[in-house]
Amino acid sequence: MLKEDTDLQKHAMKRKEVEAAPPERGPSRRKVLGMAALATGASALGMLGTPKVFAAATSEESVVGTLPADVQKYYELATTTPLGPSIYHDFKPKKGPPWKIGYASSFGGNTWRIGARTRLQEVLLPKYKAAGLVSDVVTTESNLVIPRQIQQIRQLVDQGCDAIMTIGAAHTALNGAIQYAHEHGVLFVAIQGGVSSPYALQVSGNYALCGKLQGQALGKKMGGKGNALIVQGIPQAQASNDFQKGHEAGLKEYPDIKIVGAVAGTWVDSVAKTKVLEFLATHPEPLAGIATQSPGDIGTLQALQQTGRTIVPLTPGGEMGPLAYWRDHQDWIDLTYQGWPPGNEMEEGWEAMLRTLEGQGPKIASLLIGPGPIAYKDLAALLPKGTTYASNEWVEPPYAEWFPAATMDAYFERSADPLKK
Amino acid sequence: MSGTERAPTYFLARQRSLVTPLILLGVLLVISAWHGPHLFTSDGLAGAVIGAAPLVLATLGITVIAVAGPAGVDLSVGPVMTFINIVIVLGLPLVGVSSPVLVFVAAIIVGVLLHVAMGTLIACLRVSTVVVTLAVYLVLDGLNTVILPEPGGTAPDWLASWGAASSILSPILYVPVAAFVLWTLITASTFFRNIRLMGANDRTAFVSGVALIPTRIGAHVIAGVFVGIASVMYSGLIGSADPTAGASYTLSAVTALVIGGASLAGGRAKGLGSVIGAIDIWLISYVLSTFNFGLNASYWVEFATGAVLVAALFAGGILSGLSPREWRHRGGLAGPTP
Repeated sequence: MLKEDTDLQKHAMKRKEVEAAPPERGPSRRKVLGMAALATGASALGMLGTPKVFAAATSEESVVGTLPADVQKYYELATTTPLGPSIYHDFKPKKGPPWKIGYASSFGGNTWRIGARTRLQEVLLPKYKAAGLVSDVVTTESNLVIPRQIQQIRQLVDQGCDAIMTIGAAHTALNGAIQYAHEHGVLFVAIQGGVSSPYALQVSGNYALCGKLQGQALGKKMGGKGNALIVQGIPQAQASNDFQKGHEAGLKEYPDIKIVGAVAGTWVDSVAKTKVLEFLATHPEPLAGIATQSPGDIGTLQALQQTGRTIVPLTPGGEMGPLAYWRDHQDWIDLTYQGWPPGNEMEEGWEAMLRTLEGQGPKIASLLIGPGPIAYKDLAALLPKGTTYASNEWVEPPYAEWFPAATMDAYFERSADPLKK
Repeated sequence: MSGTERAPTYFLARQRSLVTPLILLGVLLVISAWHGPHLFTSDGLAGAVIGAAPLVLATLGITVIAVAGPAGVDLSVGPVMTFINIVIVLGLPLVGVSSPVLVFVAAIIVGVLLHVAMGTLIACLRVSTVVVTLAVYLVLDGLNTVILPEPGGTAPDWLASWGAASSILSPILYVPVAAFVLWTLITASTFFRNIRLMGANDRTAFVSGVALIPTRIGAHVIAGVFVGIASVMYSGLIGSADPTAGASYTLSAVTALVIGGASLAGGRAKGLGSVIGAIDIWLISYVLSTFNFGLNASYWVEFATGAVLVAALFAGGILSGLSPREWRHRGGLAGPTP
């Protein structure tokens, strides 16, 4: 039994209560993830193919089937990330501790990235510095310019970093730089969505699974029929594509729901609003629901309000503003799922990186974690007083419950608390 | 003063467009030596060459268009490189092409065909270069995403290995050097002089017997060759196909072109200046990445690039306002400004 199952009473998101809720409140995490385990087993046996373009990167035989069953369930729909054995299973750093860490971020201009960066600078770095495990973090940022991020990654290697953590601007384009890091004995960790390189250790939420659960909840709220619109993030970003695939998979379980279009909200509310307005101007037919990616929910709501359309259910993903709207409009949606709390995503990548530097030996190339459900009754605890529709901070469940130590242990051959090494 | 004594001075006066990019290059190299000395190791230089080569070659490609003028700013270069990247990584394997020679030939042919189409529109319909290349930018930017909705594929092994290169004694250096030799040969030809004359004043060129339409299309053929080679280097850098990653080369290449001293009015641009301008652009990013600006790093890169661009335009405006003879009589850089 996972640690989170024993701590649910304290969990801000009260997962257990949601799982125990009557069917009309949405599918339980355990049930849905149980189905995921079946799919994952099938995937492990090679029954589910991977897209041809990723064949080279994911050609290693999947080792998901060797992981504990409670962890296997997090791998449903995980087709675009390497699932073979980790190349860092027997990794030994060139020197240290303390280790010098590079953080190559692809973008810094939204609240998600700021939340991740804040956890890194204000929580993780001081704690691990005090433990004598980390000497410094060198940060670069490429503003989504891929050649620049390649240059920065190589530069971090050349500057003597022992490990590099990145949020990649592209799924495949960084592979040469990642290989360069590996050949120079530098551990490379990718968080928040995948890169296809077998030389990376990936740690992230399973966004496709989160999207699917959100899509199912949306389809149910729509009554299983009507027109649905999809608001993407950045279309070429792997995380965005994964969410969209999940949304489509969830909605397709309702044959009478028709997906009538997809627009690129680029994870920016103002852009999402503009794109949805453009769509509504040219599509007079009624919509019954919109599958959104956060950030982008509030912009979509504003577009509906501005055009006088009916406010239809969306799929908010953890940003406080849309959850505040739900707090004030209880019937808007019944259930949603959070897939990527920024601080926790940063911390899970950081912890996996430190464990690998300590020689704990990751078992698989990609460490995934499933989404957490949010029910209406959770909102009072999740949203601080004074949260408005304009609040763009993110709900952060306690890390020990989002990614319990027991779950992290399951991913490593020689697991131990990284701070007690 | 005899003609013999005046010749070196006159030569230097004609190279004044290189002053700004060379000074900038020197400053950036000094800062690199101080704050990022790893640049001067084998690994560092390999990273610099593979990182800067696509931009250097793309800038050479659009330099011809700038010379051909008027207002010859080629905005299409980024999406064109992306399109050729997709052809290399996903198209050529479908017909069994993966050998280095055939990949280069195919990339150049695609680059030339696209540029001939643009050149024909510009020359025959007398439409502005900016308008035509902007249209091609938009068409290809959309088409690339339609063909390849998300990044994927793997470049041929020989090409994908360039992205992890640790030594400059490899094709990542030989290819740009060979391309620059080719550039030097082309610019020494009578045909290129005709392009230059056409860019400076097409009426004068016409009455001098220059066939404007073939000359302009020929300028685009040359551009297509260099953009094709740039695309191969770019494919080596990213080792895969990406529908959007190349678009950033448009702004970078135009910036490098201007820093390199090209006149966007046409008729005047030096390949060496464009090469140095492109290296300057890469070095600005490198130097600023050696400082820990955190999540603001990229904004500082863009701020610095913009500031350098303004400074280069300002300096270029001063220097290009003088004829070589005036510049020499005013005492070169030490003399009064007009």
